[in-house]
Amino acid sequence: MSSLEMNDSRSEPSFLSRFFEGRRVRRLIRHRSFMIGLWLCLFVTVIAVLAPVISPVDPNKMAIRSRFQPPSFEFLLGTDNLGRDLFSRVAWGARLSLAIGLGVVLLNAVFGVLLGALAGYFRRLDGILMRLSDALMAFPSVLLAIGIAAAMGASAMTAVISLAVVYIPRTARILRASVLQVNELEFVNAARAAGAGDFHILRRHILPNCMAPLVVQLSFVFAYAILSEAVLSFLGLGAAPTDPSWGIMISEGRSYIREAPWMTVIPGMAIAITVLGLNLLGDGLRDVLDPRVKMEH
Amino acid sequence: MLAYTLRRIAQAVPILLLVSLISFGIMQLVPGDPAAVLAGPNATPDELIKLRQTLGLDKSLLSQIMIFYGNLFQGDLGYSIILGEPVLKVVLERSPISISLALYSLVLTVILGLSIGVIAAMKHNRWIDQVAMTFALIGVSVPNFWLGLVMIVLFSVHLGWLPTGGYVPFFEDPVGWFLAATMPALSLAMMQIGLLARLTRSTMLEVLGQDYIRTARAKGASEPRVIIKHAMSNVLIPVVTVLGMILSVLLSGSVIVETIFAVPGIGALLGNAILGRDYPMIQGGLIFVAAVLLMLNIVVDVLYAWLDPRVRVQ
Amino acid sequence: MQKEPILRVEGLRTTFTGDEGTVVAVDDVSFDVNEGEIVGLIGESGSGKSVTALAIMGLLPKSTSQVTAERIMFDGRNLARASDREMRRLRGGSIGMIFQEPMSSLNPVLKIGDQLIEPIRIHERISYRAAFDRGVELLTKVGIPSPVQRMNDYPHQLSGGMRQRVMIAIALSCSPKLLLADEPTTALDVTIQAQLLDLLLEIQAETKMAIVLITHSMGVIAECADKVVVMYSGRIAEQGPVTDIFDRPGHPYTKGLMQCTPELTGNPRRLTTIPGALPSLSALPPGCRFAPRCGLAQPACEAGRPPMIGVGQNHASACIRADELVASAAQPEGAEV
Repeated sequence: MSSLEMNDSRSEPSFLSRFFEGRRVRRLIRHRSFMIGLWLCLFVTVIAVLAPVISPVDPNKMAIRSRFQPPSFEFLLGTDNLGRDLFSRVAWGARLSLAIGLGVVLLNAVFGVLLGALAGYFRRLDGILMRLSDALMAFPSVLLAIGIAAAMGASAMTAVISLAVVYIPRTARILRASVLQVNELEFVNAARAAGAGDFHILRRHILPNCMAPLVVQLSFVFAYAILSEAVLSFLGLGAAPTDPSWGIMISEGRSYIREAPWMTVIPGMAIAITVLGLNLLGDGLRDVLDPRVKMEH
Repeated sequence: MLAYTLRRIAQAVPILLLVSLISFGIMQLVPGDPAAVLAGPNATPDELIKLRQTLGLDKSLLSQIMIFYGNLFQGDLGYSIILGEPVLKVVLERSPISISLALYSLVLTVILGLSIGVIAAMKHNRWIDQVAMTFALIGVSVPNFWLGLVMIVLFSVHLGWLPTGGYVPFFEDPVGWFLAATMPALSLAMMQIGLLARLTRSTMLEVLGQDYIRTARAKGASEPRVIIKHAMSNVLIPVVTVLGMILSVLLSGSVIVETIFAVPGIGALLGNAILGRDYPMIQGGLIFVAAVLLMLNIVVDVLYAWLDPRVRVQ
Repeated sequence: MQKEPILRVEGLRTTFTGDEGTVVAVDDVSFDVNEGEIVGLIGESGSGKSVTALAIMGLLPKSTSQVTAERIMFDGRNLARASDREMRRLRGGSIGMIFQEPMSSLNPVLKIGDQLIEPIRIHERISYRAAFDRGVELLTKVGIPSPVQRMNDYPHQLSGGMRQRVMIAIALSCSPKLLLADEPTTALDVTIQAQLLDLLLEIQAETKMAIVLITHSMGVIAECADKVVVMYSGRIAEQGPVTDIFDRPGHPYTKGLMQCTPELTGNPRRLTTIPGALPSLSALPPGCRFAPRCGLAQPACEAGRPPMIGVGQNHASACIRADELVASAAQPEGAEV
């Protein structure tokens, strides 16, 4: 028993300490695009968290007298057709976007790991799970999400579920590939020879070594989820129409695009900045954690 | 090669069956009675019963599936409720429009994505590389429908260079088609251009570091010859593998881009079906698009095998 | 009156610039290669021998490396001042090169024939048909069976030894006056190594081209070379005729090399008889670079760079105790006889 434990500690001390070992952190800090991405993401997160504090007015408060105000000192990002303050709406929209993105990422982490590990480790399940993921991935990604959302009815929860269904097969595939790879390594055989059970091997030896590609993938899933959520809410399949969602704001702005282009331009830039930050973050993580992985979507 | 192609087609059949089952299953996600949702609050009980019969909802789930597959094998994708026409017929009518748009986007993607990536790799770490990669990164970060709207404001409203949308059949008026399709194609392609430029650059950098490139230089080959003959042939292999993915995203994007630019293709058709809760149309449309995509992916796989002698010559 | 050497390298210096600053990989290297001569360039991995060859060929990436030299005279031309265009005309034409890794040195997506014919078509005005025939002839010459079929094969269909034969055929395709062979046999099986060396010697005997043979095996040197250049840590430690070097080594490093390479098949990546390892290029000792590993080192060795001391005809060593070494090597041998 003691030999087994020694083996454990050598092959895998702990997920966190391995992940944030000094060398990697130093490389990440030196990585220019990672740091730009990190600052952008922090910026958006701070705005989302502090939305109730920094919003000058209620995001849904209509003011007929100040409709269609272009950006100015009084209305930092202007107002919309109902006189609602766009700065407040964009700030609250950040909350919604990040929340939905985070939901998709969490579901991806849980089910992607579960299904990927099952398919990669228990080869009997592999055939079925991979055919199922082939089928799900045969649909154009956003189109499948649209189909599911259209059937389930519009809501933020619908957006999370439909986008999770779209991206989980992709995440599971990446995890499966890493599990297959790690499973061949010496210390896994050693653990098996020492009599460790399947779940113990998976949990203590294999999965911790599959975290790098997973983290990289999740950062990109976050970015795609935010982009796709905007598509869903633009089509009226995401959050409720009264919620301040970036996609909905763009779709509302579309009708007034000649008179009040800022109504469209500003929420779009909010999306672009968030996604840009996440992409830069993902690029940096990929360069440092997992240089072998090319682009996966 | 032929055996490989046939094997790929054979592998696609079970996937297509599963795809159909998933599309069928999506209808089951509709909360409550889909017929009631479709018919609206003012429908009479008689109308509801009739609609249920049309949709086959009066039968058990199992027999619904049987009927669904039975129809599918006869090439029947269902019946659009809004348009009152067979889904397959409508979809086939609209597909040339979407195909021409997708092809235009694909051409833009391949030409721009490849050349930006190659130039960036050749000028590695110089300012051209930085500019190209910033552009590519912005490309993959900007929502395509927003880009479309911004382009409309810029090129149609302010500059008046291009029409705000619509569709002109290519064979009637090629110039008109070109003018009308440029903005939709570009907004569809933008993200793919960014992806392809990034992939091409990183692959090209990897290839340029290979020993066989040094061999080519040791033969006295000129730089253009090294890039075009020796490097590109190796770069194209991984690039071809992402073509399937690129096509998939292009088709995905067409729903929203066609809606914005009023292009009457499959994308807009599906967009309207979603708004009108035309479930058979959504279902059939999804199956159709997935089937087309599966087919294209087989073409891509065969192309890949043909390009890479290590796969081609066994 | 001796003829001009075909290659005369004088004061070659190569530096690499990377994230960690600039390192000098080759420092003040000078040597001659006469027509029809085989010069062995020997040293451990990282001693700068491959970089020397690549610098002569102008094949180092310009973005990260800088090559300077007083002169690199080849066949009456100064390569140190040659334009890109002139260099391209020489590469694959008058100067051929073979690399260490046959598995990765051929382009995987092009046919053997296309790759073999390419330099011929680049350097000579010749029809495809004639070039193809020459290609078949070359494959026959390097001992590849059924050469016509092989022309249509892809690299992955050939074994490592066969691929290296193809690489030799490519390097020979335009009848070069000088062949730079960068560890041509290192990556191959022992039996195939011997076959390929024999092939090179056979071809050399026939064509009388000059060869710079880069290796880390004294056995290979003993078998093939007329002259030896021993490199250590980017500098020349010793050079001279092969018999002189073997009989009377004038540098402790050369002595060490010979002690750990008793036979042709020896393939030591690590020199077990010499303690320690090559110094890092970014932290070089101030004086003689071998001093930290040298059993004969004196305080004077660390004072400054040791000069090349002549210890025989065309035989020189960069060791301040070279005369002692040569003398001591001569004595016991003489006593034994």
